[in-house]
Amino acid sequence: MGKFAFGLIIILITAAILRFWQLGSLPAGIHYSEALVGWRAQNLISFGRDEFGRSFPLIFSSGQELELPLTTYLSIPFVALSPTNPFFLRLPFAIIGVFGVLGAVFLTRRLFPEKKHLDLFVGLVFAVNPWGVWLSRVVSHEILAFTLIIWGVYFLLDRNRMAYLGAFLLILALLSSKVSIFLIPGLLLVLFFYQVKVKVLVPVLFGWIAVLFLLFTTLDGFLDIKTNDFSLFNEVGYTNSINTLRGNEIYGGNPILGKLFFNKSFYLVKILDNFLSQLDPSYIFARGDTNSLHGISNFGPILLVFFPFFIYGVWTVCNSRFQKNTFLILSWLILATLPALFLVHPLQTNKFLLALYPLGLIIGLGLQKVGRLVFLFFLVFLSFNILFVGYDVIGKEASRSDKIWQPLTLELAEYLKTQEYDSVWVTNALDPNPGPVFSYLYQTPYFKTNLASSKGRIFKVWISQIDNMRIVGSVSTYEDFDLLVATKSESEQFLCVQEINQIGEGETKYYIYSVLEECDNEI
Amino acid sequence: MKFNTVFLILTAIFCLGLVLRIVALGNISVSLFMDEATIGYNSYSILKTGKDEFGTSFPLVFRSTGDYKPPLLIYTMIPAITAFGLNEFGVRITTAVFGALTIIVAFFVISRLTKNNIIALLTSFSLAISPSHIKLSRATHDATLAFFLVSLGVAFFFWAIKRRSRWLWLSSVFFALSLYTYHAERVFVPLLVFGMVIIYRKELLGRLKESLIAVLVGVVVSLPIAFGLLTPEGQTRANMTFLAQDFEISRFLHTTGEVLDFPANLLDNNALLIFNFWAKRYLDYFDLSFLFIDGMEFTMDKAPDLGLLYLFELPFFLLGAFLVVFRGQVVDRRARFFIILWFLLGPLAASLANNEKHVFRVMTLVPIPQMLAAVGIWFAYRKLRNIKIQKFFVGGLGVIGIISVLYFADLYFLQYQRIYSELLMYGWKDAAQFALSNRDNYKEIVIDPRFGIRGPHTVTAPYVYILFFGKIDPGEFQNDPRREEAWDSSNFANFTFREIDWRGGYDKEEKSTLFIGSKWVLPAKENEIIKRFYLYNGDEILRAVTPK
Repeated sequence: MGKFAFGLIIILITAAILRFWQLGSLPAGIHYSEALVGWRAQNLISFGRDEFGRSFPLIFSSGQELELPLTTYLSIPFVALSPTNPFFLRLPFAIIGVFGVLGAVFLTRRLFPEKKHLDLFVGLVFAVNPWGVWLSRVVSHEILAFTLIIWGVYFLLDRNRMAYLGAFLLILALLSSKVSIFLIPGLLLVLFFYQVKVKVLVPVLFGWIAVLFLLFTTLDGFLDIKTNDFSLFNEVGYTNSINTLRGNEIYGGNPILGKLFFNKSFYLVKILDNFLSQLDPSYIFARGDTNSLHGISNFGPILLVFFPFFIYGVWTVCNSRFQKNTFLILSWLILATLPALFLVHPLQTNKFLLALYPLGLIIGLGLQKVGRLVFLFFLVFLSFNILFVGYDVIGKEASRSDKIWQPLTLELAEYLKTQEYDSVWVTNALDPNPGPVFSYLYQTPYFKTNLASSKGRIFKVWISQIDNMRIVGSVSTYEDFDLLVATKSESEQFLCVQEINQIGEGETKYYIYSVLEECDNEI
Repeated sequence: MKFNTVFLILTAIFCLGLVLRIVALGNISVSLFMDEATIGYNSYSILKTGKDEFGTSFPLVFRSTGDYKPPLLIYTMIPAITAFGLNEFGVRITTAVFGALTIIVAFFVISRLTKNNIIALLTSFSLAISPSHIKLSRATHDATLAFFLVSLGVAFFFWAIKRRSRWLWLSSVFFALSLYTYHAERVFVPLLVFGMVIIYRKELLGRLKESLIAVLVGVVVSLPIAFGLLTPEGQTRANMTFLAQDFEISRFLHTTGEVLDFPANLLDNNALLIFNFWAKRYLDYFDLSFLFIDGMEFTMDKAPDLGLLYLFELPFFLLGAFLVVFRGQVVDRRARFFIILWFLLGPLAASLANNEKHVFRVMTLVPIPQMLAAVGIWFAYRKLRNIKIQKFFVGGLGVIGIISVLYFADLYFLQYQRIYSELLMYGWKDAAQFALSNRDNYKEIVIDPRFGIRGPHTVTAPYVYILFFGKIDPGEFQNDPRREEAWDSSNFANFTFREIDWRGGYDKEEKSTLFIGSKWVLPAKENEIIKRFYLYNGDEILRAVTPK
């Protein structure tokens, strides 16, 4: 076995271990957008309809925004294997994640055949970093898009017919996540300059137009894009602050200055700010996205131990002759900032995931330059860094992000499964959207739920009723329930309930009450 | 470029810098910050009595409001206070002048590093109009003097090793004096000097005698402060502001005596947790948004703001960094290492302290970013071969520069003062002057130190404002018997400084007492309110009340 094959196998095994180990229970709990995909897949398998009763649609709603279809359809066979097991729900993304590592190795091999071991170094960066690992362990549209783009570009750079496969994969990427909609037009332009044949790129361009068309023809497409992808322009805080500053200028006797200095050109500065913030080393190597849905909340998406090699890699790039490969890497990096460029909160590692390849490549270039001894030391530090992060994630991430992963809701659902009551009331005080989790775990048919949408927007869904279970914003009024799941303070207003169980530990707990028969439950 | 031309341009830049630092100095900032008043009064106290406010003769650490201030600025301000008196201008002028002088020193440092007077002039110009450096110089803050001394130390170091001069020890003196000036320098300077010794070891070993004298002088001058730092008082400030005290990390640290198993000892120990947190804080200082877009925090969140440097300098900074740091152009190999060293060490002290992205603490980074921007401008200009385009470039840059300075002036002189007058402790001057003018009309004047529009945003030291604006004789204050009432008592004459208990009823009964406090401290009836004091934006912040 050659060195390359041996190295590749080690990297793939490492990648697989980090992605598959305790996949069902880490992240502890299940996010409602994951559960929604699982529940939708169940309904598509059983009834050929999604949660809204639509027959095999092409655009879904994630509960936060409109969702492209590939993630859901990819999940179907895995959900069919075990409909209510989070391990199987997440399995396709873990597999895709490992394929992403493999794709990065091969793409680098194709781009830099002369750089010894660079492919394996890039593979190593992909295999072990929290960015790729975490997003491979959850239902992630982005990891799917990312892997498809890596392989797509790999095949597009082929000079023979395989290039069409690359085009096909890029079209699939467009059907996976909205981040690819931002990246792909620019990437096509870069590939055009990279001398990829136009006839191969044109179908992807048509695919891009078709996906845009698909999005904009849905009921809320425009609203979704405006709200979720261009939120910068809807932020009322900017307008208010500019008005305040202008008010101060009027007070100071310079109203004209107020108009000159504080106006809509501020959006340009904010866009630049968003661009720079995404390339901030603190964000990439240390701070990360504090939303644990997108990554580990206490660490950067790339391990800190890689930082010196990143700097060394930048050094290498700056000191090497400018080649078309350099052009590709830098363009890719800049394009990867686009999906979060127009957001109020741009630091979202899932939207920036496509930057992992150019960043990994730069780190790889740095690693490639160091001597054997330094590399051995690096491996020791890397192992320690992985253990440190791993220990933190296993021990602390669940408590840091229980609002996101809802481990208590999972436990509650398991408990309620064993109970038989005519009417159950569940509070959402501890969990902002428990409906999809219950629906997924109970395999509830879509027609047995009451799926509410706020102000007519179907991408802001909320389930208020699942069969005989009612989910309420706050348990404060009496209605006819047999079993009440509430917080301690909510339950205090009910006179005739009896505590029969508690779910959870510490201060955050669900209290479960049955109704006493001898009296009415009036407040 | 001829010497005379360089001299003239540098003089013009210095004058510009000086004007930006002293114009309306007594009025902007609109309020004397508590630290400014404290430093000013201690300086006044040394001038009049040779003792600080607590009666300690010529101290090396000033206890002040409990933060144990470094001494040098307080001593340095004595001439200005003698000349201009104890007022806002008098306490601010020293740092303003040192700030302006730094522009000249920076020229010499960069001139030595780059061997290019144009880049050095551009750096000086960038520093002269720098938002962060102007703001810092206009406040009575130790960091301005410290940074001046560090720059002087570096300038003398380069001058001495180039001229093979025996005056190398002067460099040591300035470095050592900077340790008496600001806490950040106590981390930054030893590491910078150590790095310089390694980088320029060849020259230093070549002049071994002078080098040893310099080391000896440096050690001797540093010894008193080094010993001072070993005392509990000397360590107070470091303990107060160390990173581990930060709320973001302190709640996650293990407590003393907590038993950890082996894996936790290895992978979850406090050292590792603090290191991980420190890495975030350290790298934060290299955020280009902070440096070029919103680091100054002149305005509120989500509002247009300004970075430590101007936005128009960003592309030139990137170009300069590319050329100097990554390509090794413009400067020689050792100067390149020195620049990288300075750039990396600059935010170190700030990152070890307990506030995120602290503008004043990161002044140690200056003038490297300015120099990199200057290199970028110089390089871009050189690349333009057509004279017309060169003229257009210079003209365009000049116009953008003027607009940027006007924008800064607007933000700093108007917006910042109106938005943050609460943070600047506006209102205490009026309240202090009112209390002083009424001190004979009341048996006791009670002042509550809690300060803020909506609640105890901060706890201030109002006694400092009474001392400062009343120009109270330091000897009288030091020897007032009421100072013995408690260890930290600042009560004197009929002034009492404590929390007011208006709602509890006890203070409500004190008919011959004047109470001054925030409006939420004194929810008195309309006829009990004697005077209201307002922030710069017109909101009521304090009120004077006497029970009826």
